[in-house]
Amino acid sequence: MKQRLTRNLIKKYNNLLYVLIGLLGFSVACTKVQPAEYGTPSADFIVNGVVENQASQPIPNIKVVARWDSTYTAVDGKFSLKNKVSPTDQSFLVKLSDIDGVANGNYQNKDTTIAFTNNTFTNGDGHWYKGKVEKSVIVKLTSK
Amino acid sequence: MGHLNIKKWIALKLHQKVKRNNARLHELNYLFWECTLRCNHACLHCGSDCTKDNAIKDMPLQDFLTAIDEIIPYVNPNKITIGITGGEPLLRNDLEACGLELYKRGFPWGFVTNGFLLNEKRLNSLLNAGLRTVTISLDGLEANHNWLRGTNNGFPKTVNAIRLVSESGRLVYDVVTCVNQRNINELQEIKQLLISLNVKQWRLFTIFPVGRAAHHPELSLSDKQFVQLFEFIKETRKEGLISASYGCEGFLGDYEGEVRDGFFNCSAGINIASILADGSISACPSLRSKFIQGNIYRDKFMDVWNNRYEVMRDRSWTKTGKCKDCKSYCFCEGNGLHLRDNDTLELLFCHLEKINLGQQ
Repeated sequence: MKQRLTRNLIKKYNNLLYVLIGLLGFSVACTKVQPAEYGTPSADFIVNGVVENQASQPIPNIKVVARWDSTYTAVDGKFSLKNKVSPTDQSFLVKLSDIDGVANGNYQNKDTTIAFTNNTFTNGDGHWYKGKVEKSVIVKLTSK
Repeated sequence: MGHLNIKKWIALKLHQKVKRNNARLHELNYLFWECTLRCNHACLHCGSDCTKDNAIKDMPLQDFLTAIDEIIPYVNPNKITIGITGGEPLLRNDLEACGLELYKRGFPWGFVTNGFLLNEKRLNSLLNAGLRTVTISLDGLEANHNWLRGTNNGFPKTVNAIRLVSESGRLVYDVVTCVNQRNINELQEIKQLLISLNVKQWRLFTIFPVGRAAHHPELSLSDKQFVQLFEFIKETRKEGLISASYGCEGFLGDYEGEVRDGFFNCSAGINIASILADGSISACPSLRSKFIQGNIYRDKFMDVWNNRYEVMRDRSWTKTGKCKDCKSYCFCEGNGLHLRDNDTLELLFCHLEKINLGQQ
């Protein structure tokens, strides 16, 4: 944790130095180490879902996390998560947790895996962005 | 060679801190793979000592991918470019298979080529494998390109390769030219040719006495020609028709900030690593012998990256010989590491010294 903080501070310090070098009238395009990053193939993987109890009633305010995106379910229990990653077969561990205690009911946390295989992407840009692919799920939570 | 003006001096001082910070961060962002030592040219200046039928066999693709798969848990693949070099990478029939595997894993990848074997069909198959970047070598107009590359018919094929890459519209690419005594006076014509091919990025570099070039002193520019080259690049950059720049090697004194997009920064072992044909783990592919840090057949790549490379991250050892009392050492830190003898580590080539001599 401390090491990560230090690294972030160093990066911020570097950014400040880049600004100062730029203010002196010199290019910083190659100052940031190598001009090596030219982008990468990518696609949006979207998980649309509804969280319900065993009686199929929607549950609001459930925290939902899948890899780098997170959200809370709406009043109608719906959520949507999006991850921009490599356009290959992907699998996302979706973690659902009841973070508001007895409000909206008291439910057990749950993990579920959503797999994307043999994907058909839509709305790509014809270059490196392959587009998006969506999946819909209904997740049932059990009362504590 | 005049003194640095105060603005440039301050900027270089700030850049010095950037370099130290980067050495502390030690983040891998470029990985070379020397996929073969076989080559269909016999370049006089080659630093790899390649041959048409090299004794060292190509590394099996799976061996390279095994090393890559060991890296993935520790990095964001999107932020590491894999640069495939050789030898001539197009001699490998599984280049597309390799590229596709890298693409699937999220690595941007590109390769360095002489363009001889690059036709439309091959380019399309490489593009379909996720090819992102290409660097093509063009070392002069026809006679001088063919002379330097030891080929009778390389020039038109290379020009055609540049045209194909340029017209693809999907690639980040540049053309590199090795400037020597024979082509220094035709740089204007080469520039016009590249502009006519719609090339946007042109990298010019000079030959250092390593590999075959060590036996061909006529390949090196005279001191006056060395300065002439930098004046040419400066002028070309002012014109704005093509982005010319000097290669990444060498601290250039007053020319810093004038002939490249940034200041001199030898990133070998700081952000750049390589896996050589025999599995050796190094920094830039031209760093061999004492600069080898490990071998993928013996070591875990990330263990090597995280725990070794001290010789590159701390360069205080370079302050010897002609560097010892140099006033520019703080900016230069011993010049590019590939300009040092791989065994004795002595500096073989000082850009600043050559510029000073050329300006006298």
